[in-house]
Amino acid sequence: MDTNDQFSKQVKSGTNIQENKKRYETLMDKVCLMAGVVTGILQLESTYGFLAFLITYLFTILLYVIGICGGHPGLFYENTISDLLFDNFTRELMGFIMAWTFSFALIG
Amino acid sequence: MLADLWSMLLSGGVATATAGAVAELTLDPQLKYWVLLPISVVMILTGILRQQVSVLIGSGVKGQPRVKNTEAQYMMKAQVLLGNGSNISDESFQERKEYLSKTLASGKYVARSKAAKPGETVNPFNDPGTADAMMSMAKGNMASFIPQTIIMWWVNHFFAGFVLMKLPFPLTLRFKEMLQSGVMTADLDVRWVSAISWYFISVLGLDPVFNLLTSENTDNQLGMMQTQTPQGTDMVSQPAQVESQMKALANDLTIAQHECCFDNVEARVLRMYN
Amino acid sequence: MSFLSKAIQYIAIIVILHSGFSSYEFHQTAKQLSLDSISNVIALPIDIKYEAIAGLLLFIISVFVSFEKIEYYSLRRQEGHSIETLSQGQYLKYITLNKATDRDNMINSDPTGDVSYTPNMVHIHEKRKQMRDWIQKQQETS
Repeated sequence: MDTNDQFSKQVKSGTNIQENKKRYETLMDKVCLMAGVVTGILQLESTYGFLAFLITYLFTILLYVIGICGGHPGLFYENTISDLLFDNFTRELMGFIMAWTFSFALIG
Repeated sequence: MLADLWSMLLSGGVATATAGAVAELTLDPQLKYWVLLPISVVMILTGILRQQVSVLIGSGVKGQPRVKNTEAQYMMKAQVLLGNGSNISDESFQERKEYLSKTLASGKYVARSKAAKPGETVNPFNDPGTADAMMSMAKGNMASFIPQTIIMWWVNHFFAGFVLMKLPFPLTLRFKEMLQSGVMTADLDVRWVSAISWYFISVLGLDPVFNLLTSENTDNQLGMMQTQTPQGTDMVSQPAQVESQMKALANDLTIAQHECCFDNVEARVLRMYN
Repeated sequence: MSFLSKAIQYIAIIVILHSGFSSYEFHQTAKQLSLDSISNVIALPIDIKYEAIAGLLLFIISVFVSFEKIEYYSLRRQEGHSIETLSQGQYLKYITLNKATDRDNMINSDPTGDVSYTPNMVHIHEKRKQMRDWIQKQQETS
């Protein structure tokens, strides 16, 4: 029997998608800026600093998916991987580098 | 003693620059307090000021003549019917389709100003709506790039010619020209940079900071965005263009295929809860 | 943001500031020392490292604790009930529209109310006539 599959996919609420993304972005901003400051305090250089960023970033995503999304990020984000992992990456990396350079210069 | 130290450092720098290691320079700690911090504070404050100014000079909701509204809303109606038509039954869709394609094709609701004769094109720069739109665009651009230019000039003018800080990560030699502008040492490692590079890093990295500083307003902005989107001013204002657009929409409507979402809805619901 | 998350956040910031100050003092001293013997490089003491990392961890925890389950007030208060908060028990908002409208139903909100609430389509004269007739009938019976 023909079931018109084009209509069986769920309709999404645009505002809620935006709000969830915004909340995630704010959380990541806080964490990555602070991670940058701490990396500068530890005076980590080049590769170690970027490793520190990657570890913090992935750890935070893990905590977010388990703690806030309750293990089901698909309920709150459309494209889980790109929304949580890739969309904010450059932005957070630049914020991290700025905070890192700042505290590195202040302390060193 | 100082001269000794400097010569040692510099010779060390020259020797090690080729080997790839980094020479240590001893910088005056006052540089941090009188260059690094002021630039950061000024950039953050300017960013906040820019946001406030862009709110102030941003145009509010503008009214337009009723005929314009009718025109825009009839076109939107056709687009909405094309997009969401599957939510209504077949008869309703056919009825709306016939009516809308007839009205749009006849050009009944094209807003014609009384002064312009049909077939005559109006100079778009005389139209107040277009002028306003262009003005607000220009203002938005100015609000974003004037402060940038001023700060860059300020940094370049007052803080040029000395090494400010050491970057925690290595860069390729290509950055030397940009990041060490005004420092007259050919062999200095690229990691030692001048004030302008802190400006560049701040420009790239301050987005998260602004987000945190102004996060109280974000909920409002989301709401405002929603209410403003349907008001979007279309740049098309020439009656001839509008008429041709309406004709195209009418054509689209007449050939539109309709598929109702209520067809076989039982089967889908049963499958969903199986 | 709850009291707990605020408290943790303040502690985390103080810890990070303190470790930053320690690190600053250490590096200034190390620089002075290394002026005498340039090749000598001393590593950052391990307690400062741990303090900074602990501060970052505390900060991350406080940011996560500051996420609270979203709660709503009902727009229409139930008769005889005090004002109470409603919740879907989630930190974020559901994106599928059926769940999103569940929330609207729960708090009695009608997002399309400005379209669907159409009192101007009520034929008011007809209604008034009905009312008059009804009142008249009431009076006649009594």
